[in-house]
Amino acid sequence: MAAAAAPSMAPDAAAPGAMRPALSVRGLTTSLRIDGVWRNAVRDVSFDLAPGETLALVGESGCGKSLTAMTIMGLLPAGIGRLAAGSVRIGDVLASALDDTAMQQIRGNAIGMIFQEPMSSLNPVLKVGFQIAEPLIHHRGMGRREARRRAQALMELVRIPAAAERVDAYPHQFSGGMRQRVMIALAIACSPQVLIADEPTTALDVTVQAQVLDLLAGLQREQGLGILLITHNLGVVAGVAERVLVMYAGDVVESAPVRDFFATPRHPYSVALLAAMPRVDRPAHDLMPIPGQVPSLAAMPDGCRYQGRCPLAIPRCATLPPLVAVDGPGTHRVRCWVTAPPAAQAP
Amino acid sequence: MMLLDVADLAKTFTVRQGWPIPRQVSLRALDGVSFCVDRGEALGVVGESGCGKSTAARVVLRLIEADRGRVTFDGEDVLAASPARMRTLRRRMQIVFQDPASALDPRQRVGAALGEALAVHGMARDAAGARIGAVLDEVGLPAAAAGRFPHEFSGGQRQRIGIARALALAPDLIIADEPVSALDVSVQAQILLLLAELKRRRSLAFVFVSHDLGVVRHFCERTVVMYLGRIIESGPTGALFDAPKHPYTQLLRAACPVPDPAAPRRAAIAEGEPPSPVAPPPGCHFNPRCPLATPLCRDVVPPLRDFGAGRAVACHHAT
Repeated sequence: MAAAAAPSMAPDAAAPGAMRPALSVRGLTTSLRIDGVWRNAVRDVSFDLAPGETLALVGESGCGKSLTAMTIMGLLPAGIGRLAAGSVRIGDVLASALDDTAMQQIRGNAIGMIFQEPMSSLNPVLKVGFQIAEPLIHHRGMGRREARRRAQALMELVRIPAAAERVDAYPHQFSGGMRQRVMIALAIACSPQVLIADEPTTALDVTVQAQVLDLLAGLQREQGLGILLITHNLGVVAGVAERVLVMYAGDVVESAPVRDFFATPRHPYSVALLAAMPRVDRPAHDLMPIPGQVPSLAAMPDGCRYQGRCPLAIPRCATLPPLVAVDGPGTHRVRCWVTAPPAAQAP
Repeated sequence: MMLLDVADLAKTFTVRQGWPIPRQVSLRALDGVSFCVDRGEALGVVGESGCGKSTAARVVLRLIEADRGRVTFDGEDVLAASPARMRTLRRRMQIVFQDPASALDPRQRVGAALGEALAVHGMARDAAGARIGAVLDEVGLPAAAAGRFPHEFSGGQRQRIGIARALALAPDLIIADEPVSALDVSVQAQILLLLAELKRRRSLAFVFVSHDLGVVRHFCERTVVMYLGRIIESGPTGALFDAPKHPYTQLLRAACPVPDPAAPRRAAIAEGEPPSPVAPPPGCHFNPRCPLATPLCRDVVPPLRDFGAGRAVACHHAT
């Protein structure tokens, strides 16, 4: 299915002379076993994440954005999910070729991850200082005392007040925002090149969300961290990301620099998503809901998976369109027979 | 006369806190809250976790009993109503919850869930059947939905069922507690349009509790902003969000992400989180985080002052 887009999707097509990407994903396809049948829940996802860049992966529930992250991290549950095709490269390491033991040396070391609900990712019966120190002991071979000192320094880095005392506190003694800071300290303990942030602020109040996003932006500037931000919130995307990938039902349907995306969204789904969003910064406008719902994996149509809800659908949509450039530099791409320029789709 | 008039509500919860020896502490969830809602009007109640917005909504229905204050619904004193009288009143005041999955009994068919409300209020079985069909149609579900179980529906459809159940008794007022917060944006828009249509057609009044300022701006004519149990600002929704007067409303508005990369970059949000409602600071609760705070703010609770054009602000320094 990648064939049609192959020339423009080749890794080398990324701007010549650009920095080596911190994370490089090619043709990533993830299958899930549902009722004994393997079905592709994520199809042919490709992107590069540069050091110091924030790339947003957006979409609604079930679009495959979190599954993409789990695949990159090598955290698919055996027997239920598997990497069916494609490759993942973290820095110089071809992570998708590693077995579980080797992958453990990468996770929490070259790549860190934070989740939506920090309470369920932290161990409730261990002190937070110890939890932050653990990857340092495991990956860096630090002694306990040294690791604890470093943990306290990390807590100061993520601006947890009174870090010296709170290093011995338990997760339940922290507020939601402070717990997310603990998670961030843990994720960056080993100075990873890549941080995957899966809905990191969705459970937080907006003022706390703003603080946590500011913190991530600051750490990114200081450490050249590449951040893959997974979110459903287009407002957050506009505020912090440089590039955006829109996913629908497992397919990347649009990929663009943030400014281009919000100024001229090209895929009918992207357009609909923006029109469905009530905005605080504008007088009430007519919301345009998207009719229907995402089909289940077992009932996906052939070709474009959005065709059943799309006002522009044509018979040709029964064949999956390639992701093609809609602008000169090729940074804005769309997967649509109708809205992409016909010239770009010529084989 | 307003349909719903709430005056000076107060509610303090006793919670046990601490380990290994828990202590009883009191948490002041509502501290002198007043608002009113007219027929066919939607009032937004916004604020962050722990500000008391859900408690305010529940006290109106007496799902939680207030310590103090007055709730008047269509001229009748709700807090003093007898249990029998309360049943009649509840027919006209219904609630829609955030998570319809947990608000519906998983082992009860949708028709039975809707019929239960009608039976409690004394409607005969066959009349109830017709009403259920009509109300399902009104929320955009097929009549066949009555014979199915909640798990057979998607999140958006379940919220439609929750709305249908609230509508079954033809209420005048709906208390909606984060009714679209659990939904994806495309489905959220479907439900918001449905609610707007019902509001217009049935002249329904809403108390609409939400943390999402965009949703409130879209749906509500007027809005009150709460902070640690008090209303700190109120006014027509558009004016309130375009030019907030209270420093907390300004902070809330600035922190709210908008889908526009060209939007002016907000100033960094001051460090600090809302203090615990168990130990709120004296004076204006917002004073420890407020750039305008003076000694006056630490001593004296600012009253909600009238600024004209329907706006009121509880700040010593607002102009």
